[in-house]
Amino acid sequence: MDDELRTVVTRVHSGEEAAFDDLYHLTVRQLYRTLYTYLMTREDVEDVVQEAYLKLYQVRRKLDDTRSVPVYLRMIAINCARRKFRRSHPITAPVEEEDDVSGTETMKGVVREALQKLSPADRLVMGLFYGDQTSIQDICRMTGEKEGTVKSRLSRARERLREVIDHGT
Amino acid sequence: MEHNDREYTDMLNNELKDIEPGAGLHSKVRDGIARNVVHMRRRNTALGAVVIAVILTMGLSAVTPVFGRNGTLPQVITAMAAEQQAKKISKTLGTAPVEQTGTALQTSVTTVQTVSDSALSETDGVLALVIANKSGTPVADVLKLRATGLGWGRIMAQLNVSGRDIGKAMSQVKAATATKGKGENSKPAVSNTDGNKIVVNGEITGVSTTLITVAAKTFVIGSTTQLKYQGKAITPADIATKLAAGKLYATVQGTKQVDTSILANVIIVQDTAEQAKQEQVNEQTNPSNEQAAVSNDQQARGKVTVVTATVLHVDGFANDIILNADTKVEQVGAGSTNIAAIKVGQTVQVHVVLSGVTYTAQQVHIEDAYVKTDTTANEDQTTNSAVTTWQGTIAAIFPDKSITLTTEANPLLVIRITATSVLQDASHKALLFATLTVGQKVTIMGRTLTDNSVEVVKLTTTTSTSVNPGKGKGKH
Repeated sequence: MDDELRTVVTRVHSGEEAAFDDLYHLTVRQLYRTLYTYLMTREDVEDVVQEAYLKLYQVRRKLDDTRSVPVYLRMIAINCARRKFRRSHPITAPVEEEDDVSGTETMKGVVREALQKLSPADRLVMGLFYGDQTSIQDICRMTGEKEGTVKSRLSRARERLREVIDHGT
Repeated sequence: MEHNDREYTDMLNNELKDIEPGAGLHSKVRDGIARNVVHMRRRNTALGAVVIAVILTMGLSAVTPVFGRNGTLPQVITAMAAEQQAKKISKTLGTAPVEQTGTALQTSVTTVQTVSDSALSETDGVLALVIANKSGTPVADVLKLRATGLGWGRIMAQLNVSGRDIGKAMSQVKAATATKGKGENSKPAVSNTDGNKIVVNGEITGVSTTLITVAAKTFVIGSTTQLKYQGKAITPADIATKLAAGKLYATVQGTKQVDTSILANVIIVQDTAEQAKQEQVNEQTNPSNEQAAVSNDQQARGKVTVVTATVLHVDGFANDIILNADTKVEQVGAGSTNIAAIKVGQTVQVHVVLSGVTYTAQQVHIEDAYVKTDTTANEDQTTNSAVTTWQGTIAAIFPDKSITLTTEANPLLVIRITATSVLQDASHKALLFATLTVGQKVTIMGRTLTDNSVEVVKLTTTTSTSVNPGKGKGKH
């Protein structure tokens, strides 16, 4: 993956138009999930994804540090998402419809409900750390927060999630 | 990662496993990028067009007088810079900037007078003098160009005067006036009398609005008394304020009155003490001019025996006195005037500076009141009748636009303002009839009518009115 990404970024940097599509396919899944933990609606996520890739496209000729491209992309996306969030001021993000009510899906519903009870910032840190396996240092770079703040958010999110799952409150 | 962390990871992955970007998202991203590319291309095209238009306009304006009479863009910019400098120097010089500029540039008194008499603001006047000086063009020609409506930048270009020339000239003016300012602090050291005239030099020990005591001699401050401090007018109140702050000195030239009081004609206030003989008050009847033995600055007073454009000889003063462009000339009733006003037989008080063996007049004060009688053909082409000048004080103003004036010769001279009468203040700014006030000193040029009243051709207030310094006329 790393080698493939490096090759693609080099091609993007050299101006190959098709390489940007390859970069998109290599990075969009992870970005989509990260944004989903923050925004919780597909519609908003898709808007932010479009905006983030557009911004990345505008600076594509300046991309040279292959390793930092996914971090940089998420940094752009998080900033776009924050702006979108501020603009819309949602009190709580809407819960998407659940079709299935089997055992596993019930569990999914509880987790989603628990996530929604977290603050968006805590949820984002949780998604980055546990969902994307991002290091604390990279989370700090992406969110612009200090390490202590990120760790506090993680701790608070874990506690809240456990509380909701264990006791249903 | 601890065991609990694995739990959370699994929990989240399980929750997000169905969260995948839709198939159409890629095409949406691509569409967005394509739209942006088009938008950026259009924006760049528009910006390019604007930049090209600006460059073309600038280029065109640099060679074509797109600003009409103000000329090309560089000429407008040069004019603005020159006006800025002239404005600054006017502000620095304070009173009579045109006269001071003329003195600093060693231009003739006539030249300065020509500018002063023009309708230019002080700033424009300074600029006109500087341009004339730098281009070697008669100032009248510069004024003519300005009168045609040309901007200063265009005039400068026409007369081959650069912005740098203006800058240099302004520095010269500034330096010259600074040097002169220092010189004015030196003290005259002669006291003398001439018949009923008396000159006293010494410390001011008391001052009120009507009296001043110098070297134990008390003088009356009248409406005709000229009070000067460092070449500028000063009021008794200002003297009192300065006196409260410390010692102050003065040279007073006064005239004995019938009631034995002495009316001060000129009071020159100075900051520093006299060096010698300052307490001497010579009230002898035979006049004698004494020269200071200890100072290069001296006072000479007496009757003019010889006067040319460059040399003045005063009765009682042993040496010839050099007159030059720096020599300030004042006359009672006329204020600032020029060397041409000095006539044989007049009584003058001259502030002389000795340099080597040359005595140069810094200031000549003509004590004989200014009375001008001439025929001014230019102002009276229709009737060719004599136009006479009167000076006096407004005694009363009547709604029918007539005024009674108190003059030396006539305590009640009736003057009539007509539709063609020119009313102006000391700075040659137009005045309204309504702004005239009783008690104001005025100089009248006019024709005597059959009923002995005077039809005014020009009325000039000699007491200063508010002047809006050098605003220019919106031309550059």
